[in-house]
Amino acid sequence: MATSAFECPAIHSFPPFFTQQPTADTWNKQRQLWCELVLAHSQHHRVFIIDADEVVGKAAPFHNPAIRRSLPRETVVLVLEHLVSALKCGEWENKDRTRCWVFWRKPDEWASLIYKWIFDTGRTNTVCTTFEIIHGDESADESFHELPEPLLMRALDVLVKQGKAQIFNSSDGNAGVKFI
Amino acid sequence: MGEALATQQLDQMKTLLDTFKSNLEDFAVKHKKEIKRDPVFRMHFQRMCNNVGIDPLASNKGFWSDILGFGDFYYELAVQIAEVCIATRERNGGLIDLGELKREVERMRGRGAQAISEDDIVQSIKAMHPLGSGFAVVMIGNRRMVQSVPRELNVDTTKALELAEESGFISVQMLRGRLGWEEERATKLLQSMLKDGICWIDTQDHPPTYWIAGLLA
Repeated sequence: MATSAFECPAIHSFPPFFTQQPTADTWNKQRQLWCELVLAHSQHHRVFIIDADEVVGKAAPFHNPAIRRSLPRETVVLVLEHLVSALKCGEWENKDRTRCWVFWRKPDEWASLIYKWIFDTGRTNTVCTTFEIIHGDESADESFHELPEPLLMRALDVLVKQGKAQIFNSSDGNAGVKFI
Repeated sequence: MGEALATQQLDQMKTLLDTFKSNLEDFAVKHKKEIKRDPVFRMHFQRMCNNVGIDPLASNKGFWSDILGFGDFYYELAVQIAEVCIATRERNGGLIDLGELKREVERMRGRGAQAISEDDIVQSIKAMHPLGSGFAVVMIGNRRMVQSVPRELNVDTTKALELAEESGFISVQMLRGRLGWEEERATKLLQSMLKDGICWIDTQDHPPTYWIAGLLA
């Protein structure tokens, strides 16, 4: 999806950025910089979920082969935890805090984008399937195309609460949604 | 006789200075545009003024600031410098390389803004001094750094920073080998620099290295 290369901030080439700093003020700043980097990087590459077991020592931005530094697993978890609890920009998939959804767009933002598309394409008062919304040809140019199912459901929940959608569950696992 | 001569000389001197001052003013009016636009020209002009005891920054009112708008320029710059220093303070402990500070200030000013030089930043910091801002330009080896936390850099810290200037980092081993310090002295200093936020530690290096955040970039 992304066409241009992601440009990492200068601090990503600063070796101690990959060591959790012992001074509290410095660590607070460092954690904030990591969260900003994770969000920007995920948005650029359309990463929706980060698996702490998979990224350590392998994946950007947690790994920088040019300076041979990797953010250790426990620090990755602390960064993601801050993203979840302080910034409300993420959510752990399970209690074991291994896989983390990254909300570079929050559910209510996805909800507005989806509802705008529904409205603009005259789909209100009809029933759509969740498949049609995220995998259908007609949404191919939309930013929510290929949005993971759990994130779609979170966005639809927002619309349900706003009274703009009703969800019908069908037996084949493909939910139907009526937009109002 | 001697007294009369001295008075005469003094008068002559005064006239000469007045003439020079008025020439300088004419010069400033004539080259107003270059002074405002060209940071190198501005630096030379600033030095020329300092040499004859005129400080165009001394007052925000009066001839110089009216002609050149200097007061506004430097005070606006001072606010931007303060903003950058405060915004990066948690990251670098309030010690930042002058070149990096200039780049950050330029980014804040945007592309269309009047060009600035490192010298303008130094002048601006001087202009802030009466406000008791605690901002100061310090020499670390051959490098100028701006300190935005009122703090006396002790001799050991300065020496360690000078050593770090070469590669961006220092270690206990470097302080022992290059400066001939005892291990305890080196460890204590590095711990206090870490605590002050001037240094970041890299434990993925063996033995660990201490990096000066203000030299980043």
